[in-house]
Order: sequence, then structure tokens, then C-alpha cells
Amino acid sequence: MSPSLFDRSRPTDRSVSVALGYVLVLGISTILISGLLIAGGNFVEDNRERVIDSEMKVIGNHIAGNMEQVDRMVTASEDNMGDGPERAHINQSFQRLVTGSSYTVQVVDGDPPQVVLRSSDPEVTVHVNMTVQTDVEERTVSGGKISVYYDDSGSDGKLVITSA
Amino acid sequence: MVTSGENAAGDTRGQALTLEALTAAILILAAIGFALQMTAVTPLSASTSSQHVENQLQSSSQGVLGSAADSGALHEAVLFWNTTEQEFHNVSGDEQFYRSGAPSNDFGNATDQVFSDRNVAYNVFVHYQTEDGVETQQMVRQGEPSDHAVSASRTIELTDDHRIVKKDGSLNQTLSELDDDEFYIPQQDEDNAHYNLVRVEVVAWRI
Amino acid sequence: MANLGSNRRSDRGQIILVAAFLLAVTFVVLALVVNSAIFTENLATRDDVAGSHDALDHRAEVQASVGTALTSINNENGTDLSDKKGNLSKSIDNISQAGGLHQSTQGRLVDVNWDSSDSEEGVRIYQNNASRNFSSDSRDDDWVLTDSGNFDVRNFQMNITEPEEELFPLGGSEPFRLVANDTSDGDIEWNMTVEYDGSLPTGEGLVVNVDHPNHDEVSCTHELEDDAGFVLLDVTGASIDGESCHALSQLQDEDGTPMWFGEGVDEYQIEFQNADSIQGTYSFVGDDSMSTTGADDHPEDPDEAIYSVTVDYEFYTSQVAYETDIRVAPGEVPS
Repeated sequence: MSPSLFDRSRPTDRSVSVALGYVLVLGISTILISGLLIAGGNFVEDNRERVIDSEMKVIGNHIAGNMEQVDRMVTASEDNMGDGPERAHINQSFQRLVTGSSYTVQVVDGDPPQVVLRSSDPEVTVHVNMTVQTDVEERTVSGGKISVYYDDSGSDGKLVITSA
Repeated sequence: MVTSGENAAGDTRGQALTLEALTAAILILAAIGFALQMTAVTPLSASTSSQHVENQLQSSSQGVLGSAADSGALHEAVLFWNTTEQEFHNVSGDEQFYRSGAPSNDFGNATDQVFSDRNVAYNVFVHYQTEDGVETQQMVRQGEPSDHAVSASRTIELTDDHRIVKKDGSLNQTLSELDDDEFYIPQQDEDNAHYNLVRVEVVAWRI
Repeated sequence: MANLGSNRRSDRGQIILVAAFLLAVTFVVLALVVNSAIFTENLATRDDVAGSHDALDHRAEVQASVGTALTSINNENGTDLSDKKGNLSKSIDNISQAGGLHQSTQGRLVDVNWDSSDSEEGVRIYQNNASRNFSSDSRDDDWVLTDSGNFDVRNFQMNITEPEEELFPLGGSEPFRLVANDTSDGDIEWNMTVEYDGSLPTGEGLVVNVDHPNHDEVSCTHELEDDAGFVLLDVTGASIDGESCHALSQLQDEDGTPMWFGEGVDEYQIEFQNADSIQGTYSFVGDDSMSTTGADDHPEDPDEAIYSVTVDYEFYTSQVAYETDIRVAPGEVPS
């Protein structure tokens, strides 16, 4: 492919204009390579959503487990004394970001009560069911250090979640 | 695709081009190499030290101790002491504790059933209070625990009217009637019913 | 970019370089994503917060330990209530101090406190003579142990000696019977009989039958060890020699029908019938609504006893806190 330096034929012999040639080459290669990058970007984004989903499931299950454990502490006291405990709480630190995105934790009352986690950047939502006998208070907190405690200041005792 | 007739500038350009292509290739290869190093062996990879195995072993150890405490077998095991020979009953060898086998009482039968059939080795310790703090008497020694051993404990109360258990399971004297050097657990306080608070610890690991 | 006009070839080279750079950035971002996935797997294997289960487990241990001390103190014959309370107070202090020491080696702060006014008083009715049958002081075989009332009874234990010789054989007309009799309404009673069965395929055994107004009679059998000489029957704890007996606790039918002592009767008095068909010791503690003023003479005078105590339990680790009262009444029937 190396041209003989002594060749005297000029590009204009090819009867293709410089500008068109330039546009074609540059354009086609740009399009091909940007296509490759878009596919790569989508691939990364897809996987990121999947990882965020599984991470939030794990965090949600841990939080639900903590709430069920505090519930067990409360029902043990109620079965034995007829009244809830004076104090019961479990604190746990989770990561603040899931794969680079912040998230919120919401407790939803219902049948059954649920822990709902939502990430902000790729919007992914995860629901985790829990089985508790004590009422739960509906609240939303941001991810990070989560504390689950028993609050008996109202008429009935409730399980409350808060940022520690 | 160099058109013939280009001037001498194509020569040097060729080297620069090659250099750029090489740099591009090195960049991509380095990035791939970096990315491949991200995969790792996780704690869930199957092996004898897998996290699931440890968690399961912890639960079954806790379960054995819990049911033994409820049925009274744990009290019997702690009190299964030969006061004349200063060792547990039916111990083989010179030491005070059981080697390689389980105690010949209900607690030993339970641990045998749960652990030995599943290739799990275990040590049992009895921690008791003395004037100088907490001391330990070994009850079972089956070896040196691996790095992935789990530990489960259960605390039981001994009172002055608990009785030492003889080899055949029948009851002997009460703890308050014993002399200081006849039983490995000392009396903590003489003017009340409390004798000692004892923590039985089971350390188990997969072999 | 190189001169566009003359050397178009160079443009391609540099686009390839830029594309390679961007691809490399993509790979690095992917590596971060994979890293998060691996961390998630690791997080998923982790156990719950350290100490979260132990807060509840240790509560049961404290309840059992204080219960053991309470039973031992109640069983001391001839001591009065203030002696018993003083003894229990010192024992609970010892338990708290020793338990705190054990737990502190595992990184937890545990405390147990008892205010001696936080207790229910009661009466303990017992017989200590193991070679005597269960008849009253005046040798009546059918006698009444307590007045009629709405009271609770706990830790009802019978140590039956020489079962082969003393118990009535199965099918006999007059086996020993323990009755919780509602005298206001003729037939309403909870009763339990204890019989000896020498014809079991595996040897000899003890048969316990329980009957109460809400269910038909249920029985359970316990095989006796050779030459044991005695059998420990725990009526409220529903076990014979440590082996559980469903006829005294709960049936495994659809409703989980309870068969506990006193089930089906609200107000009752405790009676023994055919007390000559059984020999050994017995003991039970009733709460302060139980009285014995109108009852027949007991072979040994009933003692003042502590029916239940309420202790304050605290459990703290750096991440878990559990503070509650625990009511300790060992051997109490579930309500």
C-alpha cells in the first residue's frame, strides 16, 4: 500500500473530491465507533440497573430482618408482661450509595407490610415483604445508617425506622 | 489506502500513525486487563469454609445447646463429675476431659447425633466464675479448631441444691455438701441459694 | 487533528485512538459495576447485626436462671417469706454480676435488677417424705388440699417412688387421681390419673390419663427404665422423666386443644383421690388467691412462698438495645 514516492499521480486523478472523501471516511468511522460506544454504554447501564436491583434487595432484606427481630423482642415482652419493652432498637450501617446512586428506604403498612427501596439515578424500585405483629409506622428515610426502634409513646406501640 | 503520489510527509506520518494505533491498542488491553482483575472469589464460592456452611453450623450448635438446656441435659452434663478422681465420668486417658468421643450422657448423645454424623468436630468448654474472674474447664477436646470454626454458648444457673450426677445417671450429694476440692466449680457465695453461673460453649468446625 | 486537506489518513488514526480511550473508560465503569455486584454478594452472606438475636436469647437464659434460683429458694422448708426474699435478692445480684461478666467477654453490657417489692406472694404445698403415700395427715385417701377459688398453680411436681409396687395397675378401679374440681357445678372437673402398665411390649410403663370438660380423655405412656426406683412427673411442665407428655400440654390436632392443668375449669379446689395408690413426694406453688383454711390437714404445713418475681433486664451492645421487664414464674401453665 505504500505509494512510491516518485509516483506523480495526484489525488485528483481519482475523480473524487477531497471534501467528499473526507466526509465519507471521517463520517463512516465516526458513526461506526460511536455505534460501538452507544452499545457499550447501554450494556453498562443495563448491568448497572441489575446490580442496583440486587443490592437493594439485599439491603431491603437486612432491614426487614431487623424489623422482624425488633418485633420479636416486642412480642416476647408483650406475651410475658402484657406490655411492650421500655426500649428495643437495632442499628445497622449500610452503604450510602448503590453503584453510584443514592437511594431511599420507605416502610409501607399493608397486608403484608413492606420495605420499599427506590434508587434515584437509574430509577429502580424493590419491594420486600415482612411479617410483623406490631404496627409499623410509615416513613421514608435515605439510605445509610438505619435504626429500627420500638416507639410506645402513642397509644399502641409501633416499629419505626429512622436514619441513625 | 495512501494514495500514490503523496509527498514525503506520508513517511513520518506513517510512524505517528503506527504509534497512535499502538497506543490505542495498549490502552484497550490495559483496560481489559484491569477489568478482568475485578472478578474475585466471593464468600459464597463453594468450599469447606463457605459462609453458608458457617452460618448453618452456628444455628445447629445453638439448637443443640438450647434443647439440652431445656430438657435438663446441660445441667446433667456439667454435673457429670467424678469427685474422687477429679475428672468427668468415663473419661479415657489421663486428662479430665473427653477426647475424640462424646460424654456418655444425654448431652453427649445429642451432640454426637448432630455433629459426628456430619463430619463436624467440636470442643466443649465450661466457663465458670471464681474469685479471680472467669475460668475454663474443658469438657470435650476433639482437636484444634480450623480458621472457620463457629462458637455457640448457653448460660445456666447452678444452685446449692443441685446434685452431682453419678456414672449411672443417678444423683449424689448436693453441691453445698461438697468440699472445695471435690468439684471443679467453686461456690461463689455461701449465704444464698446461688452456687455459680456457668456458660457452656461449643466450638464446632467442619473437617 | 492533522491537516485535513492533505493527509486524510491521519484522521482515522486519531479517531481510533479516541474510540479506544472511550472504550477503556467504559471498561473501567463496568469494572466498578462488577465490583458493586461482588460487594453485594458479600453483603448478602453476612449474618444479622451482632447481638440482635442474643438480646432475645439471653432474655430466655436470664428467665431460666432466675427461675432456677427461685425454685431452689422456695423448696427450702421452714423459711419465712422475708428470708426467702432476702435470699433471692442476693442470688439475683450474683446472677446479674456473673452474667454480666460472661457477657462482657462477648462485648455486651447486661444487667439484671430486682426490686423485692416486685413479686407475687404465694403458698407452697408439699410433701417431702418419699416413702409415704399421698394421703392427708389423718390418713384420708380422698381429701381436699385447698379451698375453692380462682387461683393459679405452678411447678406442680411429683416424684413417684417404687412405681411398680405402689401405683395401681392399668384397668384397675381405683388409680390415683389428681382433681381440679369446680364445686359449683357438679361434674365439671379437670382430672389426671396415674397408672402402672406392666404389659407394654418394650417393658413396663407409666400411663397418665387426662380428662377435662372440653375434650375427651387423652393418655400418654412413658416407659420406665429398669430399676429406676422413681419417676419424676411434672404436671404443669407436661413431662415425665424429662420426656414431654402431650396429654398434659397440648394436642397436635387442628385446634391445638390445650390439656394443661386446670383447663376447662375457672374456679376449683385441688383434691387427691385414692391417695394410697401412689407414693412419693409432691410440691406445688399457688398464688395468693389460693388458701388452705378450709382444707383437710396437710402432712406438712404449707409454707409461705414466692409465686413470681418481675426483674428488670437490660441488654446493650454498640448497635442493639433491649430493656424490658421479665416476669419469672417457673413451671407456670401457659394461659
